[in-house]
Amino acid sequence: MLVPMEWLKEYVQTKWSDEEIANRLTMAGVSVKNIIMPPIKGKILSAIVKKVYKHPHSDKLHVCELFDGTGLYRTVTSDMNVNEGSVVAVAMPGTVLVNGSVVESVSIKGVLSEVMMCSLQELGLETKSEHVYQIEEDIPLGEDLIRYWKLDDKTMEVEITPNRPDCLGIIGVARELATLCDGTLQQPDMIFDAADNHVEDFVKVTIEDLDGCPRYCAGFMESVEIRPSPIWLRRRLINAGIRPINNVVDISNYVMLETGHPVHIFDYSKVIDGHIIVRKAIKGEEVKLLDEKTYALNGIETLIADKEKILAVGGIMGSSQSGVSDLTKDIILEVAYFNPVRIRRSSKALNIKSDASYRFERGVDPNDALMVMKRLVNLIEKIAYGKATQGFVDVYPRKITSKYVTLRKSRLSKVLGVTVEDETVQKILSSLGMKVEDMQDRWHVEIPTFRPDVSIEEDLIEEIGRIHGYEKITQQIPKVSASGKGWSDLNTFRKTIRQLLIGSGFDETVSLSFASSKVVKQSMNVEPLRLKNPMTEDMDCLRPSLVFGLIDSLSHNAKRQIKDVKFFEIAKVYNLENRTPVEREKIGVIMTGQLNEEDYTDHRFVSMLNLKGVLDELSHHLSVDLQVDPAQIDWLTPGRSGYVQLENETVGIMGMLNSKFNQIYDIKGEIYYMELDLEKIFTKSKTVKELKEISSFPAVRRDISLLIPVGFSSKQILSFFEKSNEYVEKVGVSDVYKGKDIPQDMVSVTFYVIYRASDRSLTDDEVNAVFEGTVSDIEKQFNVKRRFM
Amino acid sequence: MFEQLKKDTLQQIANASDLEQLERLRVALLGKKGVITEQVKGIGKLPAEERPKAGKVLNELKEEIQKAIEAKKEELERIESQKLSQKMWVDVTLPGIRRRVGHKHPIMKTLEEIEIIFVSMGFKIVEGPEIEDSWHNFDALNTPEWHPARDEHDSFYLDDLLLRTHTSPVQIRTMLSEKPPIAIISPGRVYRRDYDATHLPMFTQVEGLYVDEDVSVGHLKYTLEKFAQEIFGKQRRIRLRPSFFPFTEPSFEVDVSCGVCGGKGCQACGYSGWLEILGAGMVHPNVFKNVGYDPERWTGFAFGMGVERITMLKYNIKDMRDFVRNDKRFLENF
Repeated sequence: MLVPMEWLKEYVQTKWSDEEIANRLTMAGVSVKNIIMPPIKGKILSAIVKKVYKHPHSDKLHVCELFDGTGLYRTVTSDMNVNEGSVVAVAMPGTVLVNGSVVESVSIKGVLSEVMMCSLQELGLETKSEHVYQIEEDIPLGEDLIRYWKLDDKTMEVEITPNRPDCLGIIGVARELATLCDGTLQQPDMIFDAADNHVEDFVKVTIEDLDGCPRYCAGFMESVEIRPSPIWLRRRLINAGIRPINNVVDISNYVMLETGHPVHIFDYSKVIDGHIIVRKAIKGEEVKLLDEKTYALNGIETLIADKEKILAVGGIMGSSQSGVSDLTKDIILEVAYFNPVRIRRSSKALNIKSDASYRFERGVDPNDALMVMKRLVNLIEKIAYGKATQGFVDVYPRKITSKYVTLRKSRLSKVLGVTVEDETVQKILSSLGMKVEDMQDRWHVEIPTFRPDVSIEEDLIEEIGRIHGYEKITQQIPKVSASGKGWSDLNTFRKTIRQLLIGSGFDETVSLSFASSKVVKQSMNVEPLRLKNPMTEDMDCLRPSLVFGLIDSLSHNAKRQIKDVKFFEIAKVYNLENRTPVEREKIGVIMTGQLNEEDYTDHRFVSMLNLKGVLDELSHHLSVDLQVDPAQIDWLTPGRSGYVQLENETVGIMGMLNSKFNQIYDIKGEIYYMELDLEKIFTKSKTVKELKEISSFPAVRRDISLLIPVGFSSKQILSFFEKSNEYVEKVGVSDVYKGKDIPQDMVSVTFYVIYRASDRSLTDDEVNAVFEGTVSDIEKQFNVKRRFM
Repeated sequence: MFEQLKKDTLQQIANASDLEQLERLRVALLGKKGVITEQVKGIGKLPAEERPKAGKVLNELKEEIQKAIEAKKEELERIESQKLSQKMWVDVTLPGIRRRVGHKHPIMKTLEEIEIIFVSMGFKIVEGPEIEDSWHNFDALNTPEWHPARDEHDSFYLDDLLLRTHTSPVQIRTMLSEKPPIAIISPGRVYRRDYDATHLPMFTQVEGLYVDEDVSVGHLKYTLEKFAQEIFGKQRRIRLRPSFFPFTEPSFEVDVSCGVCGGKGCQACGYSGWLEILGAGMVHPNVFKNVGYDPERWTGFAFGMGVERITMLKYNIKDMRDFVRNDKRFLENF
């Protein structure tokens, strides 16, 4: 909310500077985000036009002679409406106007224009002006108008939390300030003269929807004069962020800004029989509102209507027909209280957020209606010359009464951790408009209805805390005692994996959990979990795999010529399982480009077996036996894909992404990807490994190259070797070769076996016999041949 | 006397082409049976009156030869070492051959730091689901439907479920399953419909909860100032600014003094001297009632912070979207 400084100060006197006011309010919870200072400065004086004559060299210009009571000035104008005798606002050279421009003495077609006559636009009082402003008020000549009209007044930009509807009016903010600076809150002028006729002779109100509108006050005024508002009113509205329209509309906005209670004004001639009917909308009813849009109603809105048509959607917006126009004479004034929840639902359903709905949904004071009405009448009488009738219609069958809250003195000091003097407590609460009764060990507090946020003891504790000042509370060390490990085992497990992957050269990434359902279907052929209200089309579902975030990042980098990428992310993926959304935490690993980008002696690119190496490294360090079963997987490249298995359970997937991904994301080169289920692996991981005794006897190593046909899993041979003899210490592969002396559909794999006994040195002959035997068995069992016969 | 010998010998030394040859020469001259040694031995055979002079001359000669050999040795060693250096030369000003180690994501790095601070204070880390029901996300937290505070939590919906807008539901789940005292923090991803330089539709939150007997605002102040000092620096202070959250009462915005100006006000802190880092408050009695705790017996404080915001302040990062772009050049800074 925007709070013009001088307006605020109308209700409370303080010696504090504007900065001090802003700071104190902020520290009491009325958060001032900014103090806006208008750029206008210099000298703008009131002056009378003494003489007007034609510019000697132009038909389209006039020359005016101006007198400010002491001096004469000459100016050239293109505004032909300026007449002799007009009083105008004259900006002296050097003056900075609202738009930042500086007034200078200039020669216009040979005539020196010493000063400038201002329009309302140049004074910041109108969005667009056609003419020089001719002053209507009675202002002495030579008056400093910047000061007189307070054109350089500062405005505070205040953020009001949703619990404080009372501060959505300037008086509410002033009440806070008065409490803080120990001042008195001044009430605005509410006095007016009423004619002899009575309101009930003109206006009748029937509430059919009492739930939506618990109170409806109506007033009636005759013969208003619709015209532009005076300068002071325009300036306050503009500084508060509302565009002036005409005096009556401006006053209704003004009263809302002042009191925080939105009001509405109807043209009496548009209301059939002057009979206002407050009713619930019928679903499907249509109405054209002030914003010139037609809305279909949802059956939950509270309507202000007459017997034929809708006059307004109550508390939200008036209809386009019923409002005040230039022709309006007699008016009905509405000050009502609408149910906050109903307003919020209606405003959401219609997708209309107005200044009125914003206040009503937060809860205005149902009991200030007559006060607000009187203020409204007072201003309309003063500014639009309307004549009030006797009395107001006030339909309020079930009065909303004040709540009482008990505050125990012991509880106050227990929660705040500091003891506040009884006197201070009483002063704070009374100043905030509450009635306090001291009952020895507690206070009995009557809460005014403009504070719907205060309903329990803690709310009062907050009131005292925030006004008394939280800086007065001394720090206390909590007696927290650690109950077990700070991190869960899963948390530690996750951290271990992150460290392993980072150590293996992978950068950790974080990406949004969203994906595009179109891309998901296109690339993976699965139906993802869709959001009901996505922000954009490319984030319309939750990702079923981490690949989407990782490849997005890959593509971001590729577009910037960064082509060697090894990334991982540990995060959740989301799927429908048995029609229920399920989230599972996964480890996603992606790699493309050079294997060792920082090693200029190694120009190899990443391969399927490098990816497998990452898996083996994890297996080794996490003490789990992760194995890969080759398999055809839709979105991976045939022949380079498989499921990751752990003790007969599938815990992941790995392989080279198929070319669809390259196309969709416009990336060249092979991309390898692996995704593992964190929790499944965690469940089976061993925190403590079984240690084998380390033998000190010498090892004997034997190698053999076998020709392995395409499609054969070498894992079988490795396992065979492992189980072949009690002295086998380690089995591995020392080379994989594919070349011209190897048949096309074969690959030569060199296996090695290390034999070692724990109690003696093995002899060569012994090992030869064992190894030979095993190799022969392998040849027979798997039908593979030795490369070198 | 010995002039010719001296001349020849020095010439031989000068001619030595490597250390080996020089050593052989040294032995031939000064060794046990060396030419000079023999000469020295021969002095005894000279007539008595010639001996002193011959001794002197020979000694001088011996010294001169020794010096010459030493000098030659140094020269040859220098040459040898130069040759070796040529042979072994590796340009160590070339870049080293690295086995590249990866980088932690800045968010995760900050999160780890936050976790360590609170765990050292006795807090336990608890995690929970991202897909939530609105009871755990809102209602249990004293935010009924149609409460205007829901405006600040514009949620993503999945039929009747939603993506949590904060990790507070984890607090609810913990309180429902455990009895006080409770001291937990709950880190995790949360979701709100907002996307610009200072908002991501998905961000990382850490929320904390401490419930015990006699917990006051004083305890909250201590804990959060300790936290701010650990993460931003010992000289930092905090202040509590009254605010509003439906699930705490009283509620605060917690500001930390600006690290650039130390609280005097500068461009970095918008001339206020303070930077907003987190929200906090005393747990609302309705929240306690919703989980079956007696608000008369138990009091507590709760707080919540955006890890992205803390990271931005810590490393002076301007655009929050950098965190999810994962530009390798950005990631390599952490």
